[in-house]
Order: sequence, then C-alpha cells, then structure tokens
Amino acid sequence: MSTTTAPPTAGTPAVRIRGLNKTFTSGSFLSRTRLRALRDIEFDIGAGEIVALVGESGSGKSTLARCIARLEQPETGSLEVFGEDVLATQRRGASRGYRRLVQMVFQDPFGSLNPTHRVEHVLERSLRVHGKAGSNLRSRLVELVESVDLDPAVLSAFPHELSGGQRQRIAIARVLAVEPKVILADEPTSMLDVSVRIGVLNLLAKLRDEHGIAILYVTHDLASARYLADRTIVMHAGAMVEGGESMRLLDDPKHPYTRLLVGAVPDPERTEPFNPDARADLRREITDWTAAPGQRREVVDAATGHWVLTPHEHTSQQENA
Amino acid sequence: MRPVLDIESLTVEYVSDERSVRGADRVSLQIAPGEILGLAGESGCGKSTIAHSIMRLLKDPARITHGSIRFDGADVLAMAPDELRSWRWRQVAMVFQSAMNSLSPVMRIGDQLADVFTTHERMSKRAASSRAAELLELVGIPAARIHAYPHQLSGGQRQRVVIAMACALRPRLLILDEPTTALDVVVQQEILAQIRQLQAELGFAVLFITHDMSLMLELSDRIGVMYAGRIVELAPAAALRREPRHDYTQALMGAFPPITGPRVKLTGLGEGVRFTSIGDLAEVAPGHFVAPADTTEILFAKETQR
Repeated sequence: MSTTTAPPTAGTPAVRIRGLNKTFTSGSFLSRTRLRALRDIEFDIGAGEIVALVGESGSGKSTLARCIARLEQPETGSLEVFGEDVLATQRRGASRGYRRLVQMVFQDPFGSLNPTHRVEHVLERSLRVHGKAGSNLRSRLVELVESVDLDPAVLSAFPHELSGGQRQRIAIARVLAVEPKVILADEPTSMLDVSVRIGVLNLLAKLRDEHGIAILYVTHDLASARYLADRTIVMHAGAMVEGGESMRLLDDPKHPYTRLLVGAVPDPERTEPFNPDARADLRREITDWTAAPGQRREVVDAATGHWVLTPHEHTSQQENA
Repeated sequence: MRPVLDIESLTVEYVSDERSVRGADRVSLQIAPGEILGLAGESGCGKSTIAHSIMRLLKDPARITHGSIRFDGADVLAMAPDELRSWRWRQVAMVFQSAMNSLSPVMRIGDQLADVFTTHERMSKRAASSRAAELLELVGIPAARIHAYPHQLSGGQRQRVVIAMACALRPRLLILDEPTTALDVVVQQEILAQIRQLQAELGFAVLFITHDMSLMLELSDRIGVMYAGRIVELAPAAALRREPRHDYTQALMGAFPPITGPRVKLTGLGEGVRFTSIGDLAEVAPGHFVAPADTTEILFAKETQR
C-alpha cells in the first residue's frame, strides 16, 4: 500500500531528487534560530513534462527551485540531472555544462534584461557564451524570437520599448538560446498584466511539446497549475504533502492543506458562502496531520500517481467513507 | 433611490511640459447605497486614478480637467479643505493596496485605532480605547491584541486592522484598492468574507478595485471594466459572467483558468493588441452597457491596423 516511488517516467528522468534537506540559520551566535526550509524532498521531472510546485509564500517552493538551479546548497540529499548526481560530482557549484542544461526564468522581466542593450545583443551574448553562435547567427536569432511568438522586428528594440509580456518572452528566448533540457520557471507570470499571462503559460506548454523540455513551474496560483502542469506537487512548511496528476489531484484533494488551498481559489461558480467555523476545523485538521509523528506517503490512486503524506495509513479512506 | 456616489464625465489628465496623458477619460458611474461596484482593469487603466479623484487625493501633475463627483448630492470637487477633512473617513474611507504596511511600527495597534476616535470624534482616551477593542473584535482579532505592535501580527491581521480603521466611523462608502493583492489566497478569501460580513452589518457601499476578474465576479453586484482611462463595459456581475460583450472583457475573463471543469485552451489578449477610439457606453441589454472600440496591433512602436 505505502510506497515512496514517484510515478514511472520512460527512461531516465530529466531531474531526480531524493532526500533533499535545507535549513536556514539566522540570528546571532547566542540567539540562533533554525528554519527547516526543505524536508525530505523527493520527486522526478520527466523529459517533456511540466511539474508544478504550489504552496503559499514561505512553503519552500522557491527555495527548492533555487536548489535545483544551484543557487542554494542543500545540506543532504541527491540531485540527479539525466542520471548524474550533480551535488556529488560538482560539489562547489554548477559547471557551465550544468548551466547549459538547466536554465531559470525569473519572476521579474523588468529587472532581468539589461536596459542599455538591444534585444539582439542580449540573445547573441547568450549564444556566444555557450558556444552556440555558429555561422548563421542572424537566422538563429530570428528563429529564437519566432519560437517565443514574437516578430523578428523585436530584435532591434530596447527592453523599455517592450511590454512586460514581451520582455518575459525575450527572457525565455534567452534561456532557449542555450538549448536547455530543463527550465525552472519561478512565478514567471505573476508580475505580468493579467491579460497576457495565459499567453506565457501557453508558450511554456509549447516548449514542452515541441522541444521536449522538462519544466518546473513554481506558482502560488493553483488554477494556473491545473491549467498548465501535467503533475502538481503541494508544499507546506518545507515538505511535500501531496502530489499527482494536476487535474485529478486538484479536483479531489486529500490532504487538508490542499483542500484549504483549493477551497480558497476565487471561483465565481462557487455558491456556498464562506464558513469561518469550517475553516477553523480545517486549520485544526492541518495541524493534526502535519504535527503527527510517523509521516508516510500513501498512494491514493496508482493510475494517476496520486499520493498524500499522512500521519498514519488509511486516513484518507476513512475521511471519505 | 439617490446614488451615494455619482461621477459624471470625469476626466483626469497628468500634465507635463511636453504632453499630457489622460488617466481617466470621460468616466461616468453611480453607486447605490449598500451596493458593491467592482472596477476591473490592468495596471495603468485608470482605476486607481478614479479612486484617488473621489477621495480628492490626486497630486500634481494630475488634474481633474472635466466632470463632476457628487457624494449624496454634495459636490466633492468644490469642498473646502476643512469640509474635506471632516468628510473623509466619516463618509468615505479607503483601504490601499499595501495599507498593512502603513501602520506605524512604533505604536501599539490599539493606540492607532483609538487615534481615529480621538481625532475625528473628540472622544476621551479611555472611551476611544474601548472602541478600539470593539473594532478589533469586529474584524475577528481578539480584543487583547490592542497591546500588540504591528510586527507582532501577520500580514493578514494587519490588513484586517486597516479595514477596521476604515470602518471605524461607519462610512457610507468604502473604497478598496486591491485590498488583498499582497496576500496569499487563503488569507485573501478570509478577508473578503470579512468585508462581506461587515458590509451586511454596517450597510456601506463599496467601490472594489482589482485586476483579478474571478475575485471581482465573486464579490461584486455590478462591474465596470476599464481600459486606457475609459469604461469599456458596465454590467451586473451575473450578466458579465454569462455574457461578456466587449473583446477586452472577454480577454480578461479568458485570462483566468478555472479551478473546476474541463481543461480548455485559453488565449487571453494577444501580445501587442490595443483598443483605440473607444466610444461612449451604449445600453445593449437592461443595465448592460458596452463601449464600441477599434482593435489595433502594436508591434514595438510600429503600428499595424488589423
């Protein structure tokens, strides 16, 4: 019944994480406080798969993405990228080869492009640094902006001439210039105007489908995870509490924390009014679940890889009985 | 019934030496007593300009160049400074987007709440302090927390304190400018439920400003959609949800994937698509108004007509 294996993906997964832990220490020598930012993280991202990491601010989802990008160093655990345990083989930080393989898209497209350079310079530099410039540079540049659904005329523009959505597309084109196999997207749409956000999500789906890129999509927006991601993982206080195929998981959440998050998403179709007592009960249930010893992953539905972290077995079945 | 707020053809211009930009362009809308009117739109569309105009908080270089704002029949734009001072907060109160960060970090929250009563109602300190405790309980925070400093409260609790302050003098209109944007969804939902409950108890009208259409549809009675300083569509929330008429409204609605139902591909608004020559609102169904507009595609400074 109980198992710790992630859903099977064909061949070697793009990213395979086991037993990852990260603690932040703060304060002075005498008043040191420790925060367990990541607890026993364990999951895979298959090639050509989008996995969403959802949770509230402070749940550890960004820290996890930054660990994979090698911007943070976890204390324990393994991080395999296409079979290579990079925490062991590249102990002091990521090699250029690793950076070519794994690229990150940040939240703020206004801060991530140099305002004094034209778009073509930004993209060309990325190609050169990673030795991808080649002889037909111009056609490669055109190809890059077209792959993010922009007109080649954008190449001669400066960042300030572009909208937020267009800038984020350029940031993605710059990432594509390196021909990565894994993209880590940390809230890539949360600073964009709402009407163009969905376009950037559709672009990520296209990169998965046409280039077979593995994507980790970090977001606080459950509805967008449901829209975009093949699988979703819910994080709470540094731990993964539930995971599975996005639609199945979010339509039938088992963990009380996932139920809390899903129930809080604005939904014009919802008819029942907000009930403070039910909310208080749910919060108590979350504490009961997460504070209890002996946490283990329990399979809810093997076909869709749906699992939940429970304090004891069969809890979720009883809840629904 | 006379509207509590009546804005007629309001135009606000941001004037500089070279040119002026219209932040709001011939905007007309009314809010009935006890009604929740939502104003939706993206950054720069003019929704906050409207809110600041109502409160008379616009600063240079913004200028109201045309139109009128009437509150319960009184001409807001003609109010003298001392008149304005007693009108604000008592009649109209506003909660800003990052209002929770506007609490003084060195004052206990009870004292900050009591200030409202000592300043506006000339209450004694003792009476003000007990009113402060009542207010806290009204927004679901234990009265004992009046002794807490802002840093001892969570972001959601601080936002509740600010909402309590806004409701302190029982205003007839509450303006909420993105009141939950900086908060997590769970806290957002609890705060909105709180606002709805306060509204049922105290009966104030609400001008609710947000870019989040699903949130707006959930809370509002009526919704105005703004684009480039103009209202492009104005309708009851149910009608807008059922049948959004303007292309821009449809794009905004299509920008938020639903949390239930089948997965359907959405498109939002195409990159670079702009609406121009937006006309005046015309009634297309009872209470449902739409403004005609042209669609233009702007590619990085170059324009192409579609």
